[in-house]
Amino acid sequence: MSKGPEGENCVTHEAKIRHILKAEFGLDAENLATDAPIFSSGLLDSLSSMKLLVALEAAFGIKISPLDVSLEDVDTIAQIDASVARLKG
Amino acid sequence: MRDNIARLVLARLSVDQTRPAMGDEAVSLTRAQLLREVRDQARALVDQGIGAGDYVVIVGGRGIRYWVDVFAAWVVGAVAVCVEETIEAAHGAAVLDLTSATHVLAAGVATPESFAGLTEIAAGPEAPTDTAPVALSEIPFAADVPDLAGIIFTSGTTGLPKPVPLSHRALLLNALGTGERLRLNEDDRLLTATPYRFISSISHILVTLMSGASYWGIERRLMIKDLLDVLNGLEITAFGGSPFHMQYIAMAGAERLPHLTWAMSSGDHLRTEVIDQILEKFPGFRLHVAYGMAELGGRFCMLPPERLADKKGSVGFPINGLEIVVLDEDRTPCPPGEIGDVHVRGHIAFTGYLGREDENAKVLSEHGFLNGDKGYADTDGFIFLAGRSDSVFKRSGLKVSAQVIADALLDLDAVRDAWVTGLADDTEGMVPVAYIAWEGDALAQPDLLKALRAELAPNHLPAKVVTLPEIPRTGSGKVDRRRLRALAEDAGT
Repeated sequence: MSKGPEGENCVTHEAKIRHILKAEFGLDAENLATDAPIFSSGLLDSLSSMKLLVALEAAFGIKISPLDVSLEDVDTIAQIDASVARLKG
Repeated sequence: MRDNIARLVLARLSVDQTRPAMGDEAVSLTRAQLLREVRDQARALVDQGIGAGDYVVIVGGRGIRYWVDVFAAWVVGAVAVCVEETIEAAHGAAVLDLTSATHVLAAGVATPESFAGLTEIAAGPEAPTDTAPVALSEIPFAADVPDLAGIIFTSGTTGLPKPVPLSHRALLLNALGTGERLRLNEDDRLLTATPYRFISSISHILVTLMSGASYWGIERRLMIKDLLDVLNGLEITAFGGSPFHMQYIAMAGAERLPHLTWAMSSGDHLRTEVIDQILEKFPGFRLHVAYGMAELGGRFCMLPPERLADKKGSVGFPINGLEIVVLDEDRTPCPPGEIGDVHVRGHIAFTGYLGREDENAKVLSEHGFLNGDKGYADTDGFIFLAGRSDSVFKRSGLKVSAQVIADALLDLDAVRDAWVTGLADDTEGMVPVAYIAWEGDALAQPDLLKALRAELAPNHLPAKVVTLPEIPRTGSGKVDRRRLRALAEDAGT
């Protein structure tokens, strides 16, 4: 797990994301590379996307409009991390 | 001469050849360009010695090149065997056993391992620039074609995918019957966002091109914003998708989708709330609700937009050439409003899975094709569906087999006994619920899901797990649902 410019906070975000992927979808999230595709590889299908957004909203206290989410916002742990950081401002 | 679906479609395209015919995010072809592509690929097939009745494997996942290859195969009378680029080895081997195909068309993607021994046929140019008209006489149509135009495969939730024959005649009559209901016009631009090998995509492209409209396709996975961007970027006026897609459209509304005037939902039950949202957010919108199956050549039952208000929840009535009868367990017709087994019959009805006589004996009879759905007809003859009769249901448009999930659960050491059923869900239509009697301590849900992921597709993962002291069964081993419900109530669910 890498630390970004925000140090510990960044690690916490990634850990939370991995926890969501494991708890909600049963993914082997600890061993998932940060740049490994989740949706485009078929690990999760698009019906899981809404569930993921709801879980991210609850975990990070953010508001996500599904209409503004594209695949490149959520296809990898790194992309989800970046999207969460952006929405948290 | 027998019907050749390609001849009829290409004849329609030969008129006004500068108009758009087909495209995706990367490529668009005018009618002349599409005719040229098909002509050249058909000539390549002829050069390889492929002719009427020969089987060619056509691999999906590589853009509209797939459609050029399908039409070229039909032109020369070959049988298009449509498979996915990620086909599993066991399925690939079964395809070769069934068809004895000698050639594969996969230019643009890696040829699946199963077909590595077949002769590959190269693709034409990716983006043709020559726009000169093409005469139909330049296209090497076979003098006669067998009735079999193609083979597609069911989703295979209960074992190997089942091979479904598509005849030229059924494809043609299905397209005509559907087309007269949909009433697309020359200025319409129709998009599908499902894999091209699916019957819904095949059905859409035939109806669209025969109506003079243009067809646009996309196979990659899309989040909502991606779908909206594609719909707007390609100025799509008509969209064919699943109820899940319709939910996206309902969320977006007309302001975010200024070009869209028409949509068709197929593949699963469309919730009435979504219908209401679409009608509210898109004034004057034409929403078609369709009921389709690969076995019946595509959409075979449709609810016209003008009947949405008074027949909401219905899948409408059959297209010309087909009839639906609802029969009870004794195979006598159910009165209006009474739920029974849906049978479909008519002169373009299903003739049976290829090489699956045991399966055919179960689903074909003098009453027609027993399609596995429960439903009823109202007093006006409109059909309403009431779920699957064999524990196979659809979750967000994808088939789920309760038996497959139960089998995976029973393979786990921690599970002593298990039973799975579908539960109505506001978002996904139906979701699987697993009732489990544990061998010892119950697994935590994340651990259970992780273990199941190794065996099951994402749509098969249980949405809910109910722990019971035992799964009550009858003497014959069947689950005693009444006792199970009582135990579940005791367990507080």
